[in-house]
Amino acid sequence: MKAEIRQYIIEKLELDDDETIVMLIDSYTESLNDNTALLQKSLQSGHIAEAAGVAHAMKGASANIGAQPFFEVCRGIEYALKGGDVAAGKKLLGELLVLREVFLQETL
Amino acid sequence: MTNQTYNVLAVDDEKFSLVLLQSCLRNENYNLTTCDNALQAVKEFKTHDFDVILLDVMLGSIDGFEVRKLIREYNQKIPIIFLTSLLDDINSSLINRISDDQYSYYLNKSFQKKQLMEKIEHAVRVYREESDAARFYKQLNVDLLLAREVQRVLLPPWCSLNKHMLTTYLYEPCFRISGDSLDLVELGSGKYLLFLADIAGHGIQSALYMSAIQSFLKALRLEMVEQAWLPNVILNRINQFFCNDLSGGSYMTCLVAIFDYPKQRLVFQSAGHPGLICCSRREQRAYEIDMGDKGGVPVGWFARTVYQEEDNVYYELDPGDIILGYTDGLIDLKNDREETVATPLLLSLLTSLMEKSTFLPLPYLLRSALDQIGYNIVPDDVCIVEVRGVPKGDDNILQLINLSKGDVSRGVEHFWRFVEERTHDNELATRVELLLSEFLNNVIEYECANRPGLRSGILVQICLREPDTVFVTVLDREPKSDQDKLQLSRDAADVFEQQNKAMASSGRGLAIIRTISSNIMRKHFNGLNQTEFLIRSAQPWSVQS
Repeated sequence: MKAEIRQYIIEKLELDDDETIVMLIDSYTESLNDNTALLQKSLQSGHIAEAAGVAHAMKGASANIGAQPFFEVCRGIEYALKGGDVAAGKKLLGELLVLREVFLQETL
Repeated sequence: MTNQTYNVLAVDDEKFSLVLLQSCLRNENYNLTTCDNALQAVKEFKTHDFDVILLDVMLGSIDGFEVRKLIREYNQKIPIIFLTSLLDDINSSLINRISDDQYSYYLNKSFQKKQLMEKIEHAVRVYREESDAARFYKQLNVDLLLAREVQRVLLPPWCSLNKHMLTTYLYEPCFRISGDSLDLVELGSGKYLLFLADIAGHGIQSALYMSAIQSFLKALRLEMVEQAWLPNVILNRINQFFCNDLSGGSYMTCLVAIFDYPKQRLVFQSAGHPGLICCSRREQRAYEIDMGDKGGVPVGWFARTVYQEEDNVYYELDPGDIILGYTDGLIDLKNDREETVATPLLLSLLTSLMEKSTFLPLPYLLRSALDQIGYNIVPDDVCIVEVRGVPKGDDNILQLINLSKGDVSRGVEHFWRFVEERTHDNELATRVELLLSEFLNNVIEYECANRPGLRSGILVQICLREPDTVFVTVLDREPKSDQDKLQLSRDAADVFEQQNKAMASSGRGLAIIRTISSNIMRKHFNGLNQTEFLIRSAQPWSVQS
């Protein structure tokens, strides 16, 4: 996925220096980790609205950088939680965690 | 893309989004300030100048629309570009909320750098163009107000009184600046030049033409010998000046009239302008002075035009005649049915109005009467001027008082002498003096505080009616409204002092006036106030000259 993101940054955001690309991907990764933790915590403690807000922020950041798989799963979580379907939200969180693991293993 | 620098405020609680914006806009012409919460964003906005705001729709506990509301309290028009994520956010409710504000835009969060920059530039360009236009119109407004002030200063006083004649006029621009021009020039030996013109257009250009023509007339007065003062000669000179010196693409209709009161004669010529109306007391009717087919084309049409002496119209004045000139704005006044003022109606109104006008200015009475019968749509500038011989008689006195306390003191002393000499009633004369002193000073304090100098004045008539009555009539112009005034900063302490003075003198003056006068009547005629006082003496008297 990192290769697609790299491609997106170069083509769509017109940033082609490696230093910036690495910095952006690192920054996105940090945001992804922080928000995933926050999302888990919110869901566990039953703060559904807050969890939906975090999913929304993750969806926006993913859209920003062209991380399409993350965007789609975060959008699913946000909609499920806003629609009151917490179980579906939690299920999608599982998918998000798997996706993140894959992403973290990837190298540029 | 331009080389202009844009000051951008980006607000997003997702720090990564801000990092990404910084990366995108780095090395471009953008000064980016980032905030990750609403409070900090509003604080930044209040303390720095920005050209555009990039705002996330959801900012944790507060949404972007709340932030926009806070920003709009300080700036109604700064562009706000809402950034949100993809199609699923583009629901009609979101779009409607963004569109609620004319200066809000939308950009998908999966934007391309080019789209982001184009969106920012478009929003800022619209904002800057509107700001420039607003500044331009503000300055234009100031210029228009100044041009109007210049135009007012160039006009003669609304009322002029000398030993030969009384002249008054009503000047009513349909917008701020009139295209009408009016001047009254004393030529010497009891002769007066009346110049009335209607310059094409209404704006600053008209005011400039007007000032040029009036300056030219004054210069002409110094240059020309008395014998040369004929309307056709003056028209030829004005036409040459208009066509050659001003070299403008404009023109004007005008009327040049010369009143010679010692010889009771009037000579005039029209250059495409409406003629003169005579309100004859002797014939008890108003009529248009017959010009036959005399007259010339408007000034400015052709440089080679020669206004001929045989086109001058001569008219023998009767002592009771009131001569009325006007611009076509008068007959262009409309009622609700889009009907304009027909000449028979105009003449019929004047015939009835002149009966009750011993000295009341017909321009104001006429305009007010037309207003009352529904001709209150003003599509063009209106200028009406009247010239009449000074009313004479042992039982009345007419005096124009300039807006200064010194003039009031001298004037009321004169009135005291007039009443005392004719009635030998010292107490009555003193009451008249006291009443006028209080009232005129009040007018100066209240209504004319902002119109010093000789541009305006108060016309006072005293009429003695045997066996025991004095009628005092005062005519004064209403001050211009505050909103139309050219705003100049004034010291607050000065304002308070003036208000205090006005309040102090008003209460005292009114009490005295009510004690002296048994009847007070006040009427208003399109900006002219008529106040009439009736004073009765304790003893009857008969007028002695």
